[in-house]
Amino acid sequence: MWLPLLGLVVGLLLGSLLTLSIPIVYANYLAIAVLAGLDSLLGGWRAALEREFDGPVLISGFFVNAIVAALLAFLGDKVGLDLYLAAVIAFGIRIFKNIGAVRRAMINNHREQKRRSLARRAEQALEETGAEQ
Amino acid sequence: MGRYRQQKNMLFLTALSLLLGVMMITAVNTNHAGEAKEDYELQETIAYIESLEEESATLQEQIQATREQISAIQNERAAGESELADLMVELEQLRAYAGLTELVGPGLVITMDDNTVGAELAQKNNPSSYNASNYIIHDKDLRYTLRELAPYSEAVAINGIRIIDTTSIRCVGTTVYINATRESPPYVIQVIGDPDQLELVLQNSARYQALIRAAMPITVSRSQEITVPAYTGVISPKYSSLLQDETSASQQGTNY
Repeated sequence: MWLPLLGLVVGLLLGSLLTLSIPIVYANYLAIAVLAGLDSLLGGWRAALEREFDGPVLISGFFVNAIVAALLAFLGDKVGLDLYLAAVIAFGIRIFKNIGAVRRAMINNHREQKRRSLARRAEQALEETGAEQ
Repeated sequence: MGRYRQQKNMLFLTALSLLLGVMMITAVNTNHAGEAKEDYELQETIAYIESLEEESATLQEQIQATREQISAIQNERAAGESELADLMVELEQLRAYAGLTELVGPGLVITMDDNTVGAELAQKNNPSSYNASNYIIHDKDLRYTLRELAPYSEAVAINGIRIIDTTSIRCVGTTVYINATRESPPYVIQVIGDPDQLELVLQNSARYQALIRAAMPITVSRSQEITVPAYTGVISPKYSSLLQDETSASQQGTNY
């Protein structure tokens, strides 16, 4: 469950060790792409919790969303319209939605487990009383 | 939904998280690099301005040295020739009027400084209505004061810079640009003239009274011997030339 988080931390460490940097003119596009990637990742987590996970959909979503968001920002720069705001708002809203869904799914899963263990215990108790009779 | 499937999903997510982490750090690094670059460009511009100012200072020294050489040569030539000697006296007087010589005489020394104490107090007590501009000496304060004193002053210098008829006193950020030098407070204004007259005019000038009301630290002192330095900048008329008579009409151009 916490492996992806570990992956993120390792990625951050790796990035700071390599001290990667891109030309300053592309800084905005990369920032937008990071936002899109974050959204895809949270979407993937949510799907995993809801048992609807689909690897190819996640991977394609991650890259296509990041690239399209960056292209949108680029186009916006060219036509003098702040189109990157569209990506920022869309992904921002989706990130919060996904976080909400992840939270709900985790709580539901926890309740489900609790209910099952209670049911199992009740069944065992019934069987024991049945055997005695 | 087997356990194997679950683990595969998590591996997918982990790999993407790793990539995203690297992207995030790259974005942060790039942003920092951009800020550093802007800072560097600013530093470079400041260094360039400073080098130009240095160059301007050395050129002024050269001008002054050359002017001294010219007078030395003129004096040499004039020696023994009484006709020329008279002209030399006149020339010296004209040079004095033009501000090209050091002058000594009685007068007034006015020191104006920023009201830093008042500014700090105001900033602490009413930060909302605090306006830094109300607590500093501006270029116009110097200009207006000089203008009021002008009819009674024979030679003026601010912070050792001779003020002549073409001098400009302009605001440059937090400093004031006089002739070709940036000056910062305190501004010491030396004026040669009748000390009584000068002080009377100063006390009655609207600008001085306004500055006093604004609690600017200003001191005024009379002096029996003020030395005002010579003007060291260039005087280069671009559009005017001397009206020449028939005999010297062949000689073109002027040489001030």
